[in-house]
Amino acid sequence: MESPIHGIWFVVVTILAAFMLAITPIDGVMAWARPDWPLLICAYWLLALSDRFGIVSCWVIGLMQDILQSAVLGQNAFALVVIAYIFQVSYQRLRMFGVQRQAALLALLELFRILVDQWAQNINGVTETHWLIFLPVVTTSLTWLVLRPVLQRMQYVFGVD
Amino acid sequence: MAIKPVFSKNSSVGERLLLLGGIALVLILVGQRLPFIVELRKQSSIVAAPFYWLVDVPSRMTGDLREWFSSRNDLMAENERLRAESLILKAKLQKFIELRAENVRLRELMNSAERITDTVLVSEVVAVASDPSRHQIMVDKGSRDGAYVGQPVIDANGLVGQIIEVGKMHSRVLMITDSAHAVPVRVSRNGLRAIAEGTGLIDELSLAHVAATTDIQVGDLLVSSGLGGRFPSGYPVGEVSEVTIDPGKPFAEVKARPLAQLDRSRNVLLVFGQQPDVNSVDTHPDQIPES
Repeated sequence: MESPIHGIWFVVVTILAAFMLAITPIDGVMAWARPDWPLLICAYWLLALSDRFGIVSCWVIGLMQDILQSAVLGQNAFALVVIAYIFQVSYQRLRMFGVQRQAALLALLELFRILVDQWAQNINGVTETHWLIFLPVVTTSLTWLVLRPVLQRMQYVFGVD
Repeated sequence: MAIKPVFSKNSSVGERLLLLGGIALVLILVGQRLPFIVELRKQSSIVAAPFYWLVDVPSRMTGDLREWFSSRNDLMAENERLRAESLILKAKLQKFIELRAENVRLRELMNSAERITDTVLVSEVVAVASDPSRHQIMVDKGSRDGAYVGQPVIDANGLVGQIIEVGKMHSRVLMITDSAHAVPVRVSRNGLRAIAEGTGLIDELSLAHVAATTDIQVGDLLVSSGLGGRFPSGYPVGEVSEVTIDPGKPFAEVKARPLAQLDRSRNVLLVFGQQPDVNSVDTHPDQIPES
């Protein structure tokens, strides 16, 4: 807020890319296995820029995701705000985690997100579900293992801080 | 005393969580019931449109490239095929015109009103719901083109669904296979009425409350009956694919396969010519097309 964030364009680009990946049409079983890109990107920036990227940013991203995915308005926003809170109060500890432990944490957070989604849709009249909805728990956490090193490298190259 | 700004450096993380999380929760709980939020939601498609457009770029580009690089022979073969198809369709149409005239005559004899032919608007599917359990698509026509909530959508083979949300340039279509959708149908062979409910599977509809003694067979064509007042009568909906009669149950279990290519169609048709349903309160007068 005092000094402008260097390389903010890169943060914006990753968020836009996450939105695009979240709505790209996929066929068949792969549609169920789609990793939760907005969560991954939010988690990365929550750790990397914990003093700039926080609850408000995640709330806006969540609302945008609700609009894009035609979900119940507020469901992604709510889940992301709670997740952002968890990161904000314990980012020092979470940064020290190895990438595997972070991946395990993300699996839990994704599970939380799916349960919030199901609850929000249920009370708004969408009832049909399938056990495959839990597939992103696995894929999101596996994607983190690859995504974090890649983003770290790019953050370094583009000098985002 | 100055009022403390909500998002100042000093406001703690917990306060923000309570405020923003609270707003989100309220939105989840009452958002779909507040007219103000519903209206906002409609307008929000303007924000979403560029994303849908961008995501669609690769598939549009491959289509264009394929056309660009397709050889002269391919084009000629396609031309030939289309010509043959057009000839066959024209031949069929001749018969159809005769039949229609006869139909009108017979209807006049029976003193019933002549059915008006529906006008349609071709539109393109620009996005599909990313959640596979929700069968919704976005099409590139909105209130600007006269689309309205409740408008029936068909493709070349049958009924696709209905519009549930209209933005300026895009509309959201709920497909007949969504678990929240049901359409009144009749069996074209014997006029039997039923309700075809979506099952959440893209290739399956189920018929509710069909008595076990009913005359319904595998292969029967289901057409929309027009009874709900929402869909015009006579559009093909599905074909009965499975009839299970369990003597212990009061109703037969009837499954049908939708005829429209729900997971493949690139182009769909919005059907005009039917006034929107009277009980759809969310339809604005300015969105009602002139039939």
